[in-house]
Amino acid sequence: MHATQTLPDVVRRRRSRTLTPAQIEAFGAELDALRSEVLDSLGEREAIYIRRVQAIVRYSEIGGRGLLFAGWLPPAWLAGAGLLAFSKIVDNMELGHNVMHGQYDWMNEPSLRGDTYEWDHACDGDAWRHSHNYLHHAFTNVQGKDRDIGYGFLRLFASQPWQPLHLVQAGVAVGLATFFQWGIALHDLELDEVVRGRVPLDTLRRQAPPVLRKVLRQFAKDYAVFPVLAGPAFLPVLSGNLAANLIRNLWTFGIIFCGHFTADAETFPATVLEDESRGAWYLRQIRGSSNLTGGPTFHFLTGNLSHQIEHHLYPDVPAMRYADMAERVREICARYEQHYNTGSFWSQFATVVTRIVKYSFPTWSAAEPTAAG
Amino acid sequence: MLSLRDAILPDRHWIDFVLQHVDPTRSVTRTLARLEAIRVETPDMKTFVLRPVSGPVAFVAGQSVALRVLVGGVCHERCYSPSSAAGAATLAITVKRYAEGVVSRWLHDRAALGDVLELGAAAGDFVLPSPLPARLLLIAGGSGITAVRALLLAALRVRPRVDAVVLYYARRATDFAFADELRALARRRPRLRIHFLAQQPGGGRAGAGRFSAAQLDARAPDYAQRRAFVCGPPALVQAVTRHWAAIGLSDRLRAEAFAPPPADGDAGVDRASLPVHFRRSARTVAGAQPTLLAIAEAAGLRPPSGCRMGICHTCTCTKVSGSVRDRVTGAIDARPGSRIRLCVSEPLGPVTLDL
Repeated sequence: MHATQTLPDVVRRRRSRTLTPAQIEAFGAELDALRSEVLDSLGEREAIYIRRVQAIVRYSEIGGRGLLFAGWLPPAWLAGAGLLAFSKIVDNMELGHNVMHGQYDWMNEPSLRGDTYEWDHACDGDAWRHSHNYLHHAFTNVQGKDRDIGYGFLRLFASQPWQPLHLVQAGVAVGLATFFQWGIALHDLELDEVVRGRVPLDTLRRQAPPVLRKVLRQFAKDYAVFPVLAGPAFLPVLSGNLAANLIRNLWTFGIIFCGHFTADAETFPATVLEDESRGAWYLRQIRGSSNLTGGPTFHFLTGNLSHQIEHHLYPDVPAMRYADMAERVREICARYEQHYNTGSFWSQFATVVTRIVKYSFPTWSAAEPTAAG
Repeated sequence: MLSLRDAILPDRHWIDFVLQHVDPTRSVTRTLARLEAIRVETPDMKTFVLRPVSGPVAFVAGQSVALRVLVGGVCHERCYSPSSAAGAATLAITVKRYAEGVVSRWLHDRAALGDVLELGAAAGDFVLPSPLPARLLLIAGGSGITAVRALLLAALRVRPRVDAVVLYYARRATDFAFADELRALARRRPRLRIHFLAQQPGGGRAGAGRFSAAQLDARAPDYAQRRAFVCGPPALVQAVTRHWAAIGLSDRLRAEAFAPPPADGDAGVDRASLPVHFRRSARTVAGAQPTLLAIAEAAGLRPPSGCRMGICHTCTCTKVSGSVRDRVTGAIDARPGSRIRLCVSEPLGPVTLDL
């Protein structure tokens, strides 16, 4: 076993077999081959699909906002808020999130370009592209690099140092879920790091204007412009928009937290990044991510983020292909004896809640070994 | 910080979505045009007459205009030199059909009268200087005649008795587009001489062969005194450019090739050993291909691209760090965070891209 002693820590894992460098390379090559195969097959089917999704988002937004204009009637209010929540969920997840990854750049369609797309969300597109597409996807679950681990204020892994404030993090998490879009909007400004003095005030001054502009625009749109346009239906439109945003916030929070903070999800020390090979990068993505099982409607409503493993392996492959790719990825993982973390939404979410509660106490500091051992 | 306009106006693509339901030719983000006529020019060249819905597209004779068509769900973009006069209500482009050409094949085989196509902005510096030089030499190869003909007509409008020599190369005698029109023009204008040079023999005449200095001397002995323009396939443009460089008159020649010229073999850079890092995809590859676009595509990335010759800016992307050379202008860009066009940029050292 002397060969494994020189391997990076990332390959040592309880539920997965330890791979030799040659095996890691072969593993990566198989995943690369799958990627090429799918990319080469992209065409009219995917183009028609995403245009249809775009149309669904727009029709449902028109329908939802329209119904809320008649919101003094309870059924219209309920249907309107529900339809608008649906529109925002599909816009943010299956359309916006995926388009902003550049999944449909090959279509050369200006309204579906990853580097310019803006969504119905308080988070500025460019800030999202930096904090999510770059920091989170390149450095998935790497401590000190991936700022999505606990979003700067939740302690979810034993390796994170405990602070007294973590005692109330269950309440903080509920607050974050409720106001998730505003949390994400401000995420890239790294306010926690500014408070700690690790990010200079000048940087904040430079980065804040576009972020605040989008925050204000989104706030004005949902809580001023449309209610005022509605005239006598001011209040039902305001409350309907609040409800739609709340539903979207809770749903996206639930799905996103199940992506990387389930019981078996792992974090990694920054040292794994040194000379990390393509294969090792793939391994880290698989070990840091977790999937959700469900039917086609469920997958659609999660923006196919229920296939979080496939999304992290192939962030720029159209997400509508993940379901098919998942079977192949699972088969490859099985052959290399790598744990494929998947389960139903409630079973996975229960382990996330367990983490939030468990790590609010300092007693769980070194008890759970991380991937680093 | 937040203007009322900012807060209230919906996304422009949203407005388009609504407009499309009213009238498919209406748009606030795109210039749309209806295909009004199709004319056959040669066995493999056709002219397409487009009527832009919102009025004439602004361009200067010799510039090219981007045309976007949807083929198999993908929006393909190509640049064509309008063969119609600038400012006219309709825009005509003459397109040669290539066996491998996605857009040219679609236009030749599938486009139908009444189709709504998308136009892009005009671009390019292949235009006549102002004031108009006393004597002109225009060299065209194949479908390069579209840009050269545009320059010629524009020059004749400015000065009807302009002294101009045109050398028009094509493969066979049947491949000359606009031949009748050009011959009639030459008959009416005594100071305009047009030489049709079929490279292959045919019609009882010997082939003229490729461009050469001797040929130039025979047809336009005073070429050194003329302002010269060349447009055509890379081989012709390169031969002409080299000749003008050899006689030290590069500044009197303006050239436009259909594709970026291949990189100099003696650039002294071993490209295969240069790492190109794609930051968002978290991968590094050794770039064996001539352009960053080709390197990215070989690595399995699919950045948006259009004309692939540095015109349309569709593939513009942020270069985080590293030094690249613009293959069209030769300009070297080492600034961090600059926006570069991938299709005409070649790496000169390790490069990191925001892709």
